[in-house]
Amino acid sequence: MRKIILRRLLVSVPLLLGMTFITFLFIQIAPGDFLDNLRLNPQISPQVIDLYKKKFHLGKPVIIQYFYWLKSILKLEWGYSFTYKTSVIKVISSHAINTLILSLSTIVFTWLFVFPLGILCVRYQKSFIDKFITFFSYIFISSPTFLLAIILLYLATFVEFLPLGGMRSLNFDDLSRLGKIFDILKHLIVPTLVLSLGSIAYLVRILRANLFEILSSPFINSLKARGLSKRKILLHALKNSLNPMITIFGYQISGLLSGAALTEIICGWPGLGQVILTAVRSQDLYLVMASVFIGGLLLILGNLVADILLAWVDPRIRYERF
Amino acid sequence: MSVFKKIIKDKVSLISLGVLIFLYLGAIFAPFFSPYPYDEEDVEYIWAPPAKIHFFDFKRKIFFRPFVYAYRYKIDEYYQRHYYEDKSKIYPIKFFVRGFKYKILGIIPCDLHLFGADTKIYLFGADGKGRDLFSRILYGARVSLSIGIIASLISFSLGLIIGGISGYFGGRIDNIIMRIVEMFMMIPSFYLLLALRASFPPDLTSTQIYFLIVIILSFIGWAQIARIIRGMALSLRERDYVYAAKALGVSDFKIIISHILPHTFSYALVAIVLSIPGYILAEAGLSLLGLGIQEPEASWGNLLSSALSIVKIRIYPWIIIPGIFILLATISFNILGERLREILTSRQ
Amino acid sequence: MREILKVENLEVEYKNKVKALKGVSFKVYEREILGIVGESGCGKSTLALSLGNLLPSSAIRKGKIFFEDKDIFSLKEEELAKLRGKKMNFIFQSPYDSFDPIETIGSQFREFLKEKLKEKERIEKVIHDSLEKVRIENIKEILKSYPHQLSGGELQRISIAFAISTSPSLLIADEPTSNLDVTVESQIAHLFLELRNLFALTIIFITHNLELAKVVCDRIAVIYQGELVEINTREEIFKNPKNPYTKFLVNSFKRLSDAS
Repeated sequence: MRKIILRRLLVSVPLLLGMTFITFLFIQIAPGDFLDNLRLNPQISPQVIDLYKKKFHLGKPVIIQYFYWLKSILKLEWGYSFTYKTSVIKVISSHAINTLILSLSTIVFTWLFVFPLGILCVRYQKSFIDKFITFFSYIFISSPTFLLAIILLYLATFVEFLPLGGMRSLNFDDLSRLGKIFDILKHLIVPTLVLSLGSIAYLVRILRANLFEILSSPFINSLKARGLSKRKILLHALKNSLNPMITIFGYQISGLLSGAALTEIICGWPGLGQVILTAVRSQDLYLVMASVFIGGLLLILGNLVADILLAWVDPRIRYERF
Repeated sequence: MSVFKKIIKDKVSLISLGVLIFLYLGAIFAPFFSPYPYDEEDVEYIWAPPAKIHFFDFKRKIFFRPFVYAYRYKIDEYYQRHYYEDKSKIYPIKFFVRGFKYKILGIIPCDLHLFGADTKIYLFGADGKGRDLFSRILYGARVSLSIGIIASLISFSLGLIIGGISGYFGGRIDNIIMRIVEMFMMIPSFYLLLALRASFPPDLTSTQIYFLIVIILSFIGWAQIARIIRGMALSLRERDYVYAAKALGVSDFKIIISHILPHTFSYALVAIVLSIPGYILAEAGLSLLGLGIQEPEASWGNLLSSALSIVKIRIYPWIIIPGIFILLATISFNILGERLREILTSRQ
Repeated sequence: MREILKVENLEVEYKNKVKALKGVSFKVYEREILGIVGESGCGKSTLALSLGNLLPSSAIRKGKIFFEDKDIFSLKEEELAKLRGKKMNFIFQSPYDSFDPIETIGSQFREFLKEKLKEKERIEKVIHDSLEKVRIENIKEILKSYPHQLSGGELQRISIAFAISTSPSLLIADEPTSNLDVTVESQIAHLFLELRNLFALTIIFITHNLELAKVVCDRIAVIYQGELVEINTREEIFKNPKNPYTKFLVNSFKRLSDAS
């Protein structure tokens, strides 16, 4: 088990390097450089631009530029963001935490519903409930998150209780400890719903298909012949369906971490999505690269968690000799 | 029973196909269906609500003939407009009218439009500059729907070739290519999208932006496809006819093209159809944030950008309509793709 | 002798209009090992599944099956579930398809006995005893293992252990040795004989291998294309086969053994 984790971790490093290099390459290949926009800004003097030129080592071959960037990342000198007027690390870390919070709440909320709904579909096969759930999952799967976000925010305007964006109310600092937690939870509702609905729909469909497949495999009949109750058999089936679900869950995590960006932006949730948008809008190079780096890191981590979970759940993989 | 017939048999996929055809026809013949050019502004109609189509006017003894009233507005103490119908004059809706000039296929001049009236008839209301949302949606369809297909085709071709090569040759080439593919897959696509967009100079024409987006989208999407094609190629190359071809001295390239790739066809079709929604959404997302197609050009994404303001949605709810079109397109593609997949896998 | 099972005019038709069983009738008496012999596809497995009402819901069945005077087809699912595993136990052809692949043998055994055994304190002892009876050594290790880690022969023996652990009235073994190596096959066949003698079990032993049936069974029923063509004692079947198909089977067997 430990071997698997180590192995995956080791593989992740070159992956991360490769990914950042490719990103870096693409950004450099694009015509024009980051300083174009800065040059247009009358507030920034040519001396500052020259300084930036030196710092970014622009004009030198791409690989060298990449190495300098890599070096500074590793030294944790991520530079200064002139949009947020603070160090890039501070910006990214505070926002990354918020993204993680949102991802966590989405995951919890999603899985709260996936299994019950999937079981419902199987229990009441071919009945109205089954068809109803399947129909709605189709709609939610295809719905773009931004549309869901807009619609949900619109609906939220009718519900006094729900805030319309952001992460904290105006009177946040005056609230008690419990009040603060509650306030954040309130703000989590809409973005979480937006992100969950699509996930739930997708996962329920898969779970349903898996369950049907498993329930028709021979060992289920053997369990039935052994006289186990329907409930226990369903439990066995569920456990067996966990395997593919966990894989998907893992990739869902990584997808969430990097893909919630648009939703965050629309709901005003101060996560990494907002950061990169701001960075891009203001051409804040350091911030952009750092965001991509963190985004990629989270993605890789998510996949790592997925692989580990998969190995843990399926004993056939766990005990394989490497 | 051919694949096409099977799709038509199933009610749901038939509807989806119908919807898509409807949307694409609307896009292709946008000028014909639109009563107004997409960039024609009208100060008198800023944020005007959708035109109410009436069929009855008892006083004037009109029955079953569609008509509209003109919109006038009053300004209240907060400088907000309130639109009301001016019932003093009837404007019947005419069909096949002469309107603004356009060129079919860019060559043949024409000025025929499906419908029109002597006053402004904004079926879906107006935006902040008094432009007809209905017309803009039609023109926007051109952008949103075409980007989806083009980007999908390009990235698929890329993925097909690279995946095919990788799977067919195996060994070291396969290893190297697959590592690169994995790296690409690890890139958080939305972030890369934004980053790439940012790195381009801010002053680009809409056409340039259009191509840019297509290219960026393709670059992101090919990896996943390459991986799967590679898997298929790996198993396919063990087949007997491949060995036979090799024994006969057929070149590797020819083998890939004529023996391996055709078998990936059914999967290919499904994959392309199912990936189009993703690209449509990616473009919409970009344009929504103001980083994609710029005004005055329309894409469904940038039409939605005013919907980002919740206040605006409350007062002018019709600005969500472009979103519904996006939804229709993506759902239809998904349903069609799923149905295709079912049909094609059950055949094998 | 007491009748454990009575099958009356059993007819089974599957969804694809295939008639797997066409009016089969026979009785099974206490403590006997009845062999059901026939080639692949003759309906043997369908017969086995019918006894426990384990056919897919799309299958149409007619006729009656009485197990210890209970009409199997008229029982509700909960009553059937109580019956299975406790009074009527099954052993199937593929041992790897008889267990949940992601649970240990131990946990599956305990779960099974928790439902079937009244005295919960005895569970561990029963598990040990059953496994010992089927000649499993290193019991502790086995209990911690997953099905895929064990050999076919071991796993099949464990299936048998499960089946005898609740002292059932009837044991139905559907081709229990067909997936195993020949050497293992003979061991397990003799195991059945031993167990019958030790525990006074009634066994229905289904196989396509007449030679095996000769060794193990007291009476043999021959099935051909869904029909029971002959049923008699072992000696009579081999000495005086009456039905042409039986004759054909017996002769083929004789020729094989004569040739060796």
